[in-house]
Amino acid sequence: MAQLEVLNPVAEIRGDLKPHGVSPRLASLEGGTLGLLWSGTTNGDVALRRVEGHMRQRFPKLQMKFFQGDHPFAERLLREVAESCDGVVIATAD
Amino acid sequence: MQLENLGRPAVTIVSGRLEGDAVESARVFGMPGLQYVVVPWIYRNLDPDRVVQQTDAAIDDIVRELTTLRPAENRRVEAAARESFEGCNQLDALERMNEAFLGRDWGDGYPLLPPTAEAVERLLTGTRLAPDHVLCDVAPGWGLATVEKVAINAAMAGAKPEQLPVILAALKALAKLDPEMARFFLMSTGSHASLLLVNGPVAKEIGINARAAMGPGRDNQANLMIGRSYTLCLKNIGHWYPGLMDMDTLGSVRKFTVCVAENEEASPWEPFHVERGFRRDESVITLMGTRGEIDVPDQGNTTPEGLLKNIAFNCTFGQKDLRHGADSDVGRRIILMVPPDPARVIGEGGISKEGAKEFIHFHARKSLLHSLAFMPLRGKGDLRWLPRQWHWLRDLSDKELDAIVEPVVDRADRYDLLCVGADRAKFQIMPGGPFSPSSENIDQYRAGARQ
Repeated sequence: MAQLEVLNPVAEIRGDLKPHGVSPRLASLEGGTLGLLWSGTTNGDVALRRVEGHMRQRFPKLQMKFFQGDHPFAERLLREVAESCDGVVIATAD
Repeated sequence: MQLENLGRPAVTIVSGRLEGDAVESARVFGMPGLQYVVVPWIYRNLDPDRVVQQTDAAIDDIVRELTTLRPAENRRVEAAARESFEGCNQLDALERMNEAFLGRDWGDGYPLLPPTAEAVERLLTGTRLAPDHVLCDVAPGWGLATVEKVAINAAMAGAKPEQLPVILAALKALAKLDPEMARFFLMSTGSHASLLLVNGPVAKEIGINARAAMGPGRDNQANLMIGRSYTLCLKNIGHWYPGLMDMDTLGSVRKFTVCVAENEEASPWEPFHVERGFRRDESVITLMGTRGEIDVPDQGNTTPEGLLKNIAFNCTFGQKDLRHGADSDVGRRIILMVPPDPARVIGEGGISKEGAKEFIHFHARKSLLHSLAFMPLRGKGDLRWLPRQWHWLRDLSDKELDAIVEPVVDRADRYDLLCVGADRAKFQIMPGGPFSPSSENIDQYRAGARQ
């Protein structure tokens, strides 16, 4: 076997971006709607359907909606997801 | 992150080898506390059993990340400084490296050379600067350009040590731009791309072509390696990744950055860098913005006026942006690449570079009906593009607008005239801007240069 060791070309970031926090988490999954957002990459849908199966078993009152888009996701799709779901699980499947 | 910004907790399933990438992207977009779950393997080539297995194992994590806020400071994962790839031989290992690097969009789509410690060390002999010296921050992600990071990217591009100072100077020229302008230029939905012009002795010393300088081929090796290195630095140091910080609608081949030398020997005029205040014996790189390229044939004009009129009439493309006044440094520019043969006719005909620009500026005119067609003046047009002093244009009919004929740029010095090309009469016009050219001395970065 041969080994090739290389250096990382990606630089550390220092910028003028103002970091901000994530949105509040869900109080529970005993209700509401969970979005499952697939980017179209191979097996991402399989993973999300697996998530869906587990969630249905654990949280019978949780509704789920499946969405599919391309990466990067279109803004219209993201708005639709945000407006119709309380939380989202996303698979890029990379 | 966009969903988080829309007020929805969003948990992404990330495969382990890409966790560093997820963290970097979150930082670039200002959300270092982004919550995600990690699975061991990349899904794409995984067998079905493993897909199910690793997803099942992540369910508890998914529930937790949806319902529990994590402290941001515990989440930072340092990307490894080095990475190893195994293969049945060196070539196989190199292929795996390429698969990984290109898959992360750390390249330009073409095969990469390996940035081994030895290759980087060899490149660093080309500059007097220390590897840990921070040259500048690179837009649009404001990554820290240490000399070593620049050399790593240059190694991937296949650059040589003597080319490294040119690459360093190019990044510094970019860093000199106003930060907001730099971000606009690089993040635009339009196909803005950099053009690198090299003047002075270094061009000949290291073989940067000044003739048929923009195509593929043996004579353009230095041009291509410098351009490629610069592009890779923009990507990996500036985080200029398509779809993330490069929001171009269509993309452009000009983003495989063009680097040319001016044909100073054959030019009848002073070189571009001298025009900008540098000494003739200084080696200088100038960064310009481009938005396209137009090939302009000339099939027999033999007078300066005929040649210049042909150039001028071919400059009447594009839009007129009324937001920036004639005194502004921001705005439309046009790059004119004039090969030696027609340049000689114009220059020996008694017309200076400034005179040529004035002539072209006078003759390159277009009606407002055409140049303002990109923004509806009436109805629901976006008036951000039309300052208050120009609102009266909205009261004019199409016929009246067509009768107002204006120069296509605000001032004659918005033309950048370069003598580049082989001994044939074809011009090239590049829509340019939106910033004024930015120049940087190369000599200060060369090995053995005085501080």
